[in-house]
Amino acid sequence: MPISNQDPTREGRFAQQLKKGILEMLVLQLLASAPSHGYEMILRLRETSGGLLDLKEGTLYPILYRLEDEGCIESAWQNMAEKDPKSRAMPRKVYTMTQTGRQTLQAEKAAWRTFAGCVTNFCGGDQDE
Amino acid sequence: MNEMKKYVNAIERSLRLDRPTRLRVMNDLASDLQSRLDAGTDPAQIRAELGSPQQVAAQFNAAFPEHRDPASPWRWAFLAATVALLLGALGVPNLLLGLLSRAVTLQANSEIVGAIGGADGPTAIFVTSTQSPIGVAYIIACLAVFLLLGWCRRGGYRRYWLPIALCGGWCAIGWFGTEVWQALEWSATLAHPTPLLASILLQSLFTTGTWSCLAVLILAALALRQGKAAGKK
Repeated sequence: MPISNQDPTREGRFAQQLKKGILEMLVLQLLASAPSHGYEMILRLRETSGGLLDLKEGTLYPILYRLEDEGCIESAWQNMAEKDPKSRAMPRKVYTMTQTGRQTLQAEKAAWRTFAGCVTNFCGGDQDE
Repeated sequence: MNEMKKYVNAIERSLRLDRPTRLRVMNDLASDLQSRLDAGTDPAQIRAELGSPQQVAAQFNAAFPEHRDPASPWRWAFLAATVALLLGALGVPNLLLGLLSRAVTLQANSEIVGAIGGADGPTAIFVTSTQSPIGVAYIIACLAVFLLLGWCRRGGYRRYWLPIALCGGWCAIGWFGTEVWQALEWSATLAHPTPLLASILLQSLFTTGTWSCLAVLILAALALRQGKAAGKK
C-alpha cells in the first residue's frame, strides 16, 4: 500500500513520519548511483519500493531544494536530445551529488543502521506475536 | 502542448510563494512535465495524476511555509488607484475628450486645454491643466501603500524608508512648505491668530489630502519599527 500524504489514520500518520525521516537519505542514495531529474527520481522511488513510496512533486522538491542549499547536491540544465533522440528539445533540470552529499549520505546511512538495529532489538520479540 | 502550457500557467497563478522559490518550483515542474510527456503520458492523464492546478499549487504552498509570499494582493488596488489618479492629474481624460471633439480650446472647470501649432493632430493638443495638490497627495499616499504592501514586505526593513520618504517629503514640502507657510505669513498680520491658524491648518490637512500621507507615514514608521525589532531579535 503506498504511503499517502492524505492518509488520516494512525498507521498512515506513523508511516508518514517514517517516510519524512528517511526520504532525504533515499534521495541521496538515488543520486549516488546516477544523476537524475525530478520525475525520474519519483519513478525510481516508486519502482524500487514496489509502490510503497509514491511521492508527489510537492514532497520531493522541498527535499531537493534543502539538499541543494546545503551543498549536498547541485543542479544543471541538460539537453536531453543528446542522450535520447526521441526526447523533445526542452532541456531537463538534472541533479547530481556532490562530495558533501556523499559524506552526508554515509553519515545518514550509519545513523540509520544504528537506529534500525536499535528498533529491531527493541521490537524483536514482537515478531512471534 | 498548448493544454499543458495552460495547465502550468494556471499552477503558477495559484502559487503563493516568494519569487525565487516560485521560479525554482516552476523550472522543476516544467522539466518534469516534459519528462512525463516524453514518457508517453498524455496531458489529460498528467492532469488526472497530479490534480487540478489549484490542488498542485496548494501542495507547493503547503510544502514551503517559510517561503510564502508575504505581499498582500490588495497592493494592486492601490497601484490601480495611483495610475488612475496620475492619469487624472495629467489631464488624460480631458486630452481624450479634446481628441474626440477635436476642439481647439477646451476649458473645463479649472483646467485649460490649449492647442500648439493648430488643432490638426493628436500631438498638437497640449494640456496645461493646473494640478490639484489634493491629487498629488493621494497619488503619493497610494503609491506608498502599494510599496508598503508588497516591495517593502519582501525585503529588509530598510525598504520602509522609501514610503516614509515619499509621504514625509510631501508633508514637508507640499503641505508645510506651501499651505502652512502661507497661513503663517497671513496670520502674522492678525492680532490673535492662533485659533484661526489652527483651524486653517487642520482644514488644509483634508483639503490637500495630506491626511492620507500622514496616515501612511505613521503606518510605515510603525512597520519600520517592528521590522527593526524583528531584525534585532
